[in-house]
Amino acid sequence: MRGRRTAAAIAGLAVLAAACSAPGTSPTATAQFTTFEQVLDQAKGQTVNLYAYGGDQGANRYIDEVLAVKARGLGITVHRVPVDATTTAMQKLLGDKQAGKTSGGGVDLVWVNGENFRTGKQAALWDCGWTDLLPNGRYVNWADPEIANDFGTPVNKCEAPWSRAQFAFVYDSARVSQPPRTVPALLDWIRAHPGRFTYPAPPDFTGSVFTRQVFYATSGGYTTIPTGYDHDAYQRLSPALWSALRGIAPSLWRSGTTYPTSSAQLNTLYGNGEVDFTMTYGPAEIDALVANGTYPATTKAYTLDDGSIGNTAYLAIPANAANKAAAIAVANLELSPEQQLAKAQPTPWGVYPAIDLTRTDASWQQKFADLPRSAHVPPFAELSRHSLPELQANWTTPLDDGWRQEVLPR
Amino acid sequence: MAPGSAAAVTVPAPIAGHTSNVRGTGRARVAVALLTPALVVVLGLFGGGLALAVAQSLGAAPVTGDGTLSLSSYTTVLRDPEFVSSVLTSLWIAAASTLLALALGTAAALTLRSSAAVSRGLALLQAALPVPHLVGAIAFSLALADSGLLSRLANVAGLAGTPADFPALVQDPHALGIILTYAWKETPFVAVVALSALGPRIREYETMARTLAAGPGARLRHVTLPLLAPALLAAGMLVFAFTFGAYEVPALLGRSYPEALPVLAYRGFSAVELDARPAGLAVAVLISVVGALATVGYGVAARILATRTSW
Amino acid sequence: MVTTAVSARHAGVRRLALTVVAVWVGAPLLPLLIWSFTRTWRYPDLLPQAWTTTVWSDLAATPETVRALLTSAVIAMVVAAFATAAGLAAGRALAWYRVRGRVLIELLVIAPLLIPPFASAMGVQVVFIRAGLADQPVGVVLAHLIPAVPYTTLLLRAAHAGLDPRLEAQARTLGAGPISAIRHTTLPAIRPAVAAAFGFAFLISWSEYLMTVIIGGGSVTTWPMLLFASAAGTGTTAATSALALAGLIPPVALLVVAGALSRRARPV
Repeated sequence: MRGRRTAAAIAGLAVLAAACSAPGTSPTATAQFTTFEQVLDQAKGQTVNLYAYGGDQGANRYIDEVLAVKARGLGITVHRVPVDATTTAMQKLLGDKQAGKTSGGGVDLVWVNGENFRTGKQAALWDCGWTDLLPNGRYVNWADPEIANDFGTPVNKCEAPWSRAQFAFVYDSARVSQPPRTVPALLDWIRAHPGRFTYPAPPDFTGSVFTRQVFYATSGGYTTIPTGYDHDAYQRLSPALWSALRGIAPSLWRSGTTYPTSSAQLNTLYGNGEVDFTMTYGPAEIDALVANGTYPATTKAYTLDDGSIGNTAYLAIPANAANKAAAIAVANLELSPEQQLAKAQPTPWGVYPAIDLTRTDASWQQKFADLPRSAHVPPFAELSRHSLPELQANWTTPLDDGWRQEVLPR
Repeated sequence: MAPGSAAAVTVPAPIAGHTSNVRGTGRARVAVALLTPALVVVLGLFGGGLALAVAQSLGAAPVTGDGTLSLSSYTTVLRDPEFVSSVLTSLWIAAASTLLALALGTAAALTLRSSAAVSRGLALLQAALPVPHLVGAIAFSLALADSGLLSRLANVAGLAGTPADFPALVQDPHALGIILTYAWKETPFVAVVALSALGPRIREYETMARTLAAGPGARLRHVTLPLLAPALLAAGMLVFAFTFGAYEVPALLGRSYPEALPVLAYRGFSAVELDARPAGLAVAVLISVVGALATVGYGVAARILATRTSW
Repeated sequence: MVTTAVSARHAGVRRLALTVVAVWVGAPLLPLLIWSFTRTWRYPDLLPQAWTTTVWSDLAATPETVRALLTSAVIAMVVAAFATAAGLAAGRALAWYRVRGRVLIELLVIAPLLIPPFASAMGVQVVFIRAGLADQPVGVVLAHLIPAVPYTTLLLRAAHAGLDPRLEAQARTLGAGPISAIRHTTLPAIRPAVAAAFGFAFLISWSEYLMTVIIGGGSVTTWPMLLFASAAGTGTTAATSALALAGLIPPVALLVVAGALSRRARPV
């Protein structure tokens, strides 16, 4: 029967595509380049697809208005691809991997850290070794444990630092005169002020850090938790965390029946005066939010005395990236003191430098010292005084999943 | 529901005798050629894609070929308590949205007809059709949030002093925000379908019933609604299947636990952990099974509709 | 006297019914409109304290917005053209020809309306990546055809079914070629349905989010992708609202044009 034959031919079509020849593998950057001059030569005329979380308007403006403009001078076009979470980029890379697409990939640079970096490293999604090519690598203290380890995962020349972050609480000093200075004090404050606090539901990045911050406290301190994930330790330590979080739930916004699904939503609640606190991994953004009226002028940021989690964000290059030369050139560019200073300027962004300032010459150090003081955010030195490292990234998923099972449904 | 599906529900029966004068092998060849492009899409792309989804949910790796087949993703999914809550959530969303849209849409159609405002009413209803669900979800999140427009109106009316006094309608435990968005979006669709089905023939039967001294209530119950039923059933089936399987609205307006099934499916599919992908595909396949059941149900409804209309 | 009273009451009921429908359709879009003209609109203000047009001018000045709207428009036009052509052919076959396995084919055509097509997009993604179709507008077009073709087929089958195929046969006996016979007899008669099918297919493609994400990754950025990301937290409420409204303009414009075309085609 003719119809059946046609149908069979059609059904075969979708699968036919799979029979296409396997594309060749992208050579690693180190195999391709021996000097940075070669990189710059080849980078001319290339377009870099930079996958970056798009929710930070300051970061977006920095990339588009500062970094991309400077890169154009090198003959490189920076195309920022805004994603609502870095997992979008990871999913793409994993999809490529599953489909055997080992070259010509559409992602050239990813703003990444933590669990995403770790998964990528495990699945061999990153190109490694290229950071040695960066002339501006001399400004980076690669031996600093906060640079050498990304959430406990050794960086191993698979990514270049981009910025530093410090987890901070943000409150309205017009409503809260004495903000709690430790996690137990914060939990007490929440119980004493029903409905005035909440946190974004993990796996939102900020909500996830908040959970870990409480986890450090309920476990008796950062040092009592094995840095690498350990199932026994999870079984032993997590019940205290869940009971603490369940304990405050009835006193949260909406009585804990629901949580903001993103940190952006929590910020909106705070901006509307519906809660007295918000929290951020990028306190430097607060000045801009106060200036444009999103936050009240009485907003202040601070870190807890029993520690605040800090981390470094990086740029990584996928192994199958189509435009590696330009990606390396951009990664080098953003490590220059000039770009790190531009990033630290409150306008348009304001984020903490990832380079070691003592490695820059005195005139740059002066420029960093001359950065405007904020009326809302203490200087980085004060914010990071009690800085605690992140747990290894393989803790993130069990804790996020545990929260979904133990705290959300109650 | 996209507006075109109104056509799916109100297909006129073929004019008798048309098909009989186009016989012969040459014509059969033409028919196959004419059907090929559409079949490439629904059989090749859609059917092929579904088959690949099933294969990958069972652990197959169709391109690299290094997968091993097992049912483990299905046992993982079915044993996960969140899956059960998600099924219930999605069923509740679909059932409530469908019933609301059917009730409101039918009421709107009957009211517009009795007040002789069919053509202008239709024009207004059709104005709602091109609004994408994504836009609807965003609009409703602004209208229904606890500091949204409704909450402000409640504040002005003295019903709520603070946002927290206003009932949770977005990301709420009962998925009310999602259901209201769907009801808003699907009611015009149902109304358009009902208005097209309320043809002159139904009018004849109603007149007949009136001459037999049936009151307006009795006419509605015993004449109009039964005659409308197949079209409403088909429309309801489309709305149910759509609201059961659509992603955007619950993704934006839903709670983080339990999630609607499509949200759960996509979160698994897009998760960074590699083993979550088959589980996500398994959830997508299970949604498709429900859709396939609806397809069969729709086929039955369409048959009934066809026999009724060929009276 | 009695008749005028009745008709006055009727007019009142009609106006009320139409008002309710208009409010139902329009009111939920009101917050979007207000938010697109202000940056801060604090609770419990019913209206913003300050109005601005900078939300719209910023939107128009963002190249990625303009690019996304253009990408969406091109993809939707191609999808609509292909889906309408495929629907014309299949609709003709299903309405006028004896087709073996008709019931099965009709079920197949209706299936993508009832089984969410994103499941098949998830399945086919790996093949598309390998074939170089993912991350490309062409791959997105193929994915969008899945929900679009059923609509056009059903619409155009209905249009053909309401038409007597003997008209075309008569044109043939009068010496017209097959294409010319279709062009001069069938197409004019079903032009409203063709316009509607094109418009609906455009609309389906224009609104599609999840399949575009699955197939297009982040590389093919369409309007719904920008809008979803903006609504999910990357954008401010004001920017999201303006972006949402901006995306309503092309489909509404197309529907108006399609409506005008089909009215013109209506026999007088």
